[in-house]
Amino acid sequence: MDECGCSTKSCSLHDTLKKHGIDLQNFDFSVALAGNPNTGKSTVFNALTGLRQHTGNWPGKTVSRAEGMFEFGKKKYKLIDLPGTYSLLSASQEEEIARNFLVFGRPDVTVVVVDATNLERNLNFVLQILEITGDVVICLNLMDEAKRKGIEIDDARLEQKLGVPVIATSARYKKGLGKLVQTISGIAHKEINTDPHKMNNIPQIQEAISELVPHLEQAFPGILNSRWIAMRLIDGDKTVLDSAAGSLYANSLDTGSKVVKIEEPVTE
Amino acid sequence: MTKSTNKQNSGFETLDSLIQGERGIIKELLCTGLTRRRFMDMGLVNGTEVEVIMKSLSGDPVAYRVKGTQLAIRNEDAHNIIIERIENNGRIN
Repeated sequence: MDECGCSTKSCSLHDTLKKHGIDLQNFDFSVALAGNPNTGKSTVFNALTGLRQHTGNWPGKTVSRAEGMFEFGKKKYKLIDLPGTYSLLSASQEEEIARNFLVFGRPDVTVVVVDATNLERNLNFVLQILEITGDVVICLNLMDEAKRKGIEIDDARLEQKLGVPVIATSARYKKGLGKLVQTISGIAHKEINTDPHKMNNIPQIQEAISELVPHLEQAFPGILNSRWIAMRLIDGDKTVLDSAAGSLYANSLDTGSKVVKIEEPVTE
Repeated sequence: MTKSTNKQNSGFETLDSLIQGERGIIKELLCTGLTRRRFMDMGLVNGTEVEVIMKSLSGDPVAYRVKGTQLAIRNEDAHNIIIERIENNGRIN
């Protein structure tokens, strides 16, 4: 995190990073921003996109949604701020939105912002995301606060254990963001290979999943992430079936864009 | 403030039996389904230390400190969490 502070004007990365506001029509990659509440997720979002953002609500929900754009290496990235949640597996509105976006919206890259001062609590969420997608960058945020509290984190070992890049940042002081953007770009362009940590060491569960997947694919042709949905069904979560059916409907209406359509911002 | 233990967990001490300032280590969650999932997401897993920091006026819910944050848990739910009490000198009873 020291080689690219990005607060200094001399940083070459900083020059190639252009902040965009509102032009959401033309983008090359979609990037989801996920994380627990109070991890500085919005600070990261603001630092990457600048102040001009597209805000509104998620379709049919009273949960606010923010989108922004940034440009890096002549490519445009759309950044979608997901609701801050502790989990993707319970039943709250926020969790359902975050989960459905990751499973059915299929962003090119998912950035998970984690609180370096409270790593254990945050890793639960990270592991849940790694079950859904491997195109993940961990943004180990609040490093300044961790340092002040005397917490040391072996980010190289964490990266090795999780199998996805871990970038230490202090978004408040714009530290490490250059490297974060560079890594997002690397994942989006498939230049960085990941090997996400998954819970696949229990043969009985793997067997059950393999048995269930063909049935799912028959019932919902074109279903996304069928293994993950099978896993949720085994866990007794029936709500995923509704979400899967809903996403297929949304996709058939979709005009070829990779990301599910968004409602216009609420004017009230 | 100790509840009469029900059949399900007689012989064990549950989270709701702790009073303010007392600590315990989580041994087992007896709840199932979404409640269990929610508790685990909140950091209530086996081996976690929990401390009673505050009780509401009626004594229900109670605020606990878990992994650096505060959680309010209904006594009804706390009664389904088996703990091992930590004595104030830090020794596990």
